[in-house]
Amino acid sequence: MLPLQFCTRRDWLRNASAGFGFLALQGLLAEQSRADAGKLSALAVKPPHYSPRARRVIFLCMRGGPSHMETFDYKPQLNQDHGKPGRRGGSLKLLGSRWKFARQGESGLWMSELFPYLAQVADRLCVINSMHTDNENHSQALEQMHTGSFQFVRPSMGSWVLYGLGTENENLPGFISISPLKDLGGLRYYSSSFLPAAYSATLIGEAGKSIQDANIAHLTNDRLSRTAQRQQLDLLQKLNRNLAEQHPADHRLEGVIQSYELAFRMQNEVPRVMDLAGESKQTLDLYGIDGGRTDGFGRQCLLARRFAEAGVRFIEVTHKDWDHHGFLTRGMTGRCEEVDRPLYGLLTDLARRGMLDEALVVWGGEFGRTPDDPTEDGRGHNNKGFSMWLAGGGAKPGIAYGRTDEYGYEAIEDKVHIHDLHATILHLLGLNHERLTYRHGGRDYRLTDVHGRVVREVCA
Amino acid sequence: MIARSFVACILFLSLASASTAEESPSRQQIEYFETKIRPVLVKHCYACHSAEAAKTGKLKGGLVLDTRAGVLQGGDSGPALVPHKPSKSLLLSALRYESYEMPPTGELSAEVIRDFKQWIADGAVDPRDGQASVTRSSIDFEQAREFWSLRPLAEPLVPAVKAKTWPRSDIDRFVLARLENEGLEAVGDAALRTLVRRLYFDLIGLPPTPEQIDAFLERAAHDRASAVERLVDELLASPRFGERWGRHWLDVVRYADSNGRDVNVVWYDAWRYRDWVIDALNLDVPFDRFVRQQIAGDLLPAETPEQRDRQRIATGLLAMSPKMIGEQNKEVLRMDTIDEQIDVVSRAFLGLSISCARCHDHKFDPIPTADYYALAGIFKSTEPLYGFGRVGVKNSPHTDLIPAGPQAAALGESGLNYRHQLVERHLEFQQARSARYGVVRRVADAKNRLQRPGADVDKLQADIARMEADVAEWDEKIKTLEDALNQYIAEPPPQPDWAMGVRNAETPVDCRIHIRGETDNLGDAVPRGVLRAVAIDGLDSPAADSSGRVHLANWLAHVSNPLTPRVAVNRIWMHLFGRGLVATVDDFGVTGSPPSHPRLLDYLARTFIDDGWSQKRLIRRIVLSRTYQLASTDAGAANHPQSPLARGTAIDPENILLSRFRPRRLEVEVFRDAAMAVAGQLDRSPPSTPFLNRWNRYEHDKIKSFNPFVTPQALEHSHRSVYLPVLRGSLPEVFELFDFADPNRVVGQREESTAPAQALFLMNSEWIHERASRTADRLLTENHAGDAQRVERLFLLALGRRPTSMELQDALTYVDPSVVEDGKQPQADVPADPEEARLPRWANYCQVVLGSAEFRYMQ
Repeated sequence: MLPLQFCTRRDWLRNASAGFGFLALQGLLAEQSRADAGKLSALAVKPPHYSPRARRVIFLCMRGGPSHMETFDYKPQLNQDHGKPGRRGGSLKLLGSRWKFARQGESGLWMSELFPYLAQVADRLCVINSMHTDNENHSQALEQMHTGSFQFVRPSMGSWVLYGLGTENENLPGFISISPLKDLGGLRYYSSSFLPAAYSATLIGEAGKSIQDANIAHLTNDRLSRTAQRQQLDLLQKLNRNLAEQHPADHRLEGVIQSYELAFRMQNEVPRVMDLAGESKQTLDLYGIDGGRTDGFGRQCLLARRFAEAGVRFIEVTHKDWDHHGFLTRGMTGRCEEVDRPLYGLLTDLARRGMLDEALVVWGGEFGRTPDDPTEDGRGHNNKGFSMWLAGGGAKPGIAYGRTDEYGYEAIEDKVHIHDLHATILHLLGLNHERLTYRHGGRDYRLTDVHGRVVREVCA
Repeated sequence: MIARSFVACILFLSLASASTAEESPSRQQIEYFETKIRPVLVKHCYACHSAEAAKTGKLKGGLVLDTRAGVLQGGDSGPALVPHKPSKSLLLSALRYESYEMPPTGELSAEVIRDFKQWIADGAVDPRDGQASVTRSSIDFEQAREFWSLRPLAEPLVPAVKAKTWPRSDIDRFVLARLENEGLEAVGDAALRTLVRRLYFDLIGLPPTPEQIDAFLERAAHDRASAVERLVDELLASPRFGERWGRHWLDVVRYADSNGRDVNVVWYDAWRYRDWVIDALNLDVPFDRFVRQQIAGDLLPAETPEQRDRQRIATGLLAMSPKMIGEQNKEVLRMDTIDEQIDVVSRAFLGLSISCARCHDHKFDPIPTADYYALAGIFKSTEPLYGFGRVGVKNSPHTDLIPAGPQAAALGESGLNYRHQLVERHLEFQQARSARYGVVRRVADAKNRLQRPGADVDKLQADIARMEADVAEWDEKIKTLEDALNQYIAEPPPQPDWAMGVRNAETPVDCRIHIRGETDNLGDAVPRGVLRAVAIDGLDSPAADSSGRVHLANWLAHVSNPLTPRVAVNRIWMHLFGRGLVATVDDFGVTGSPPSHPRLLDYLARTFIDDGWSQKRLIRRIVLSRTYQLASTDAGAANHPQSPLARGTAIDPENILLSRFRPRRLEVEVFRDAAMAVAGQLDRSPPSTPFLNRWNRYEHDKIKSFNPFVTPQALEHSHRSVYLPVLRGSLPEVFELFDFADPNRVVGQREESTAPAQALFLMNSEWIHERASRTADRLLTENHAGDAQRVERLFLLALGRRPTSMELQDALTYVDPSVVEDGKQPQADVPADPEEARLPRWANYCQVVLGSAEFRYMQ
């Protein structure tokens, strides 16, 4: 087995020279039939439409809808008018933020005191304060955030990216979701829908459960040693090869043989990537992996870096419980503490390894919160204005783009719809969102449907 | 792709409404146009909407704005404006980003928009001359019907062939004629062992037992043709046939036992539709009747209550769409549900995808938006009945179910009443809970405020005390409500059988065109009706007082509908050959593939109709053809460059011309059933009671991720896979991994993906290990003379053949604990004691066979 970091595509092809690799190349030349689209070769590296800024995405999904007024969208007017009636009538009163904001870094980016660590890398952030989306229900907004559509079941953003670019390390899945959501029909957020199943996410763990023991399903065999399993596999492959030899033109049978070999290698490869034992104390500290409140998300972020390093194309990390209708103070303090240091750790670690240029980090939730609420410690759902940030991967560092009105009700300037964000992410990966299409049921589909504007202002 | 532009949405807005009355414009009016209007048009619109744009191919939406005629004629969506009527002018609503969003680069200033409004209100004086320069595109249905799939079925002559002795049927003659044309030759016939396995899998989805194989071989030794014919007839008559072929249809209609989406309501009664489909296949219900019943079974005459029930159950098809239960805008939910109904009907029966016409005229097929809304009217006049939405939530879209069974009349009303009551009680309980939570939050709030400097401590403390008393009171009330609710749930009154389906809405209505598909952007109403692209003589339009569903059913199932029989026979062909004559089985439109054998397709469709729309007879004809019975390989000459196989694979790698049989991977149900059959674990009979009835339907009304009752174990049983519950989002793992049809979408043809996750499952999962151990157990406990006989038995059970001597040797070496080969380690991790070691070793070997491609692919 080659050490992971040296296992390039060329090595992969060489390893598999007689079999699948050869076929994968052939596949690039030959018109692929529909039936073949589900084959392993669907994952072969494909050139982007144009020169990319980023080669992979780390998407940090904050489920529940973090408040923009408590994080990146400074609203002095809201604070000043605290307690006054809100714009939406009824008993809704404006609720100022309890946390102080200050300009951070050379760029002078406004950030709240909830992010003392992240503030140290403020100059790396490209904050978008004018996000908006179509729906204010969690499940619909989350679905649109992942797939572009809240009405119909569509492929996930990660599936589109994998479809567009293929994967760099064929010893690993190309789209991995760490601690995915499984409630609210969450699995749809990571599914390839009508794209071939090979583009679906491989799931590790589950949101809300400890990441420490999480793993890819069926990765280990506790009945057979590696040698014994190899022996068993040899016998199986012998049967398979007999059949394949009788059907020399049938690529699928060769695909079966290779999928077994790949699975066998993944059994080693995945635990190696997921094993944090080789990480230095200093690195673990950087992410806040210390058994405390930052430990869980820290591990998720470190895993994301390790998968990125190993060539995984799209890595999603989920962090839960940002839905603060009540107990905003307690909730925001807790959630921000959990993610602040790991976020800082991830960006710092990626940067010092020279990986941040190639990895686009995206942070945000499905929507934001309302500036007003009848209680004095909570906020409602707000899909009309919220904040997200990008870092690395060709995003313009140290800027805040767009803005909401003086209270944070809705985006009013340089608005960025979730479709626009999708178009921009694809753009940074060298993919034209209008050209990345897939024919299904007689129609060409896109991640951005008929929408989407590449927000060039946030591209470096 | 659709650009953000004036895409065609309202084709049938009356042109006449655009006033063309010429009044002589005043000088001020002209000046107003020249200063306020023309510059804006030039700057922001001409790039995409002018004669110049038309010339350079940049024209969008068929609209030109550089002449007065162009503005009045309008584009695909109708006139750009109606003089004097700003509120009816698309141009203005587009500028306001209401109908369209124009210009797409950003909204113009409020002042400019006011200018346009004023201009239109004043009569839209426009001194510009010239032609509209673009002829309005409208669909020429006559011409559209010239497209191959919309043409009436031909009556093709059976072609003459050179190799006169080769064909066994007319199907063969069509295939052979193509092969001869291309200079190809078919490979030889499949070996009998291969053929018997193929027939069992294709017709009933189960592997033949060694005894069944032997019986067939014995008969075939005397007379191959009659043995095959007899076997085919036996299999078609088996109740297992409906379970196999019914599942194909369930893929198409995205059958499920739960809603999926945001609120995953369990549909405890969906299985009645599933069983209806299985029965219909077994009874060989003529396909035209099969279609009619699913669209309008509730409206068709019935002679007995049982028949009435069956026909109502058939309409379950129209109730099974995944719905966004929590959608706040009920009109959106309604139109999304209708869209799903239109989608399933148009793709399942017609092989057309017409959902795009929800927002704009179909880009490729002759389906204008108006036709979409004609169909939408039919479904708007139809009420889907799927049961509960989300209980305990206000305004959740609950619906009734259909009372069925012998007690329908006696218990229907009280049963429905119970369900309504249940919803009310849930709501009352939930409202009490949220009221309590509101107080709790205010208490927390007040306590927070207590900490602040200058707080009015006395008042706050008094408030807190009062509110805490409130909380206690709520607690009591909630407890009472909860107890009552639980009791109500635990003791439901006697219930009739329930079924999902549809019924007519009280008043039939036409649907208005939804511009861009938006519910708050309505155009004209369209009379209920069907697609004009398929016009059938002698079918009147639906009666004014009817929903139009019977009309739709008759139109779909009409003998002159060119699509329905073609789509149906093509699917059957696809299931038997792995590829349709039309490769895009769900798309018979312009973007689909044309048929590889058009004359054969029409021949099959005609024969199908002549056979009384009998699916069994068609399947019988096909599997008795020589084409179906060809080998998949050519053992002797596979590598000889001039062998039929080598030439066939070189010239026609996808086997479009059918010179051989293409191996197919077993669908996951067949794989599971076969593995369980080999392991001796499969109960071939259907479950005696509906599987989900183990749960209390009123307690477990929906699936939540934390519901302990939805576990892999809870979803397993030993019956055939078709009877496993299809809970959207909670499919059995093996289904997810091996390309089960996504129950959220219409799936005519499944994926056949190969992924390492599958290999990991076959190498390491508890599931495969269980199957392998039970198989080993069976081999070791059955009475066999020795290990060689055991290996042979395993091969016959799983692969339908005997092992080669090499395979036998490999197997015996592997299972023999005493063998340590060439200094290699013996298998690790098995007990040292030879007797104890037998089962794990055999299990490991059985796993090899069950995981092999040969077991999982049919040749």
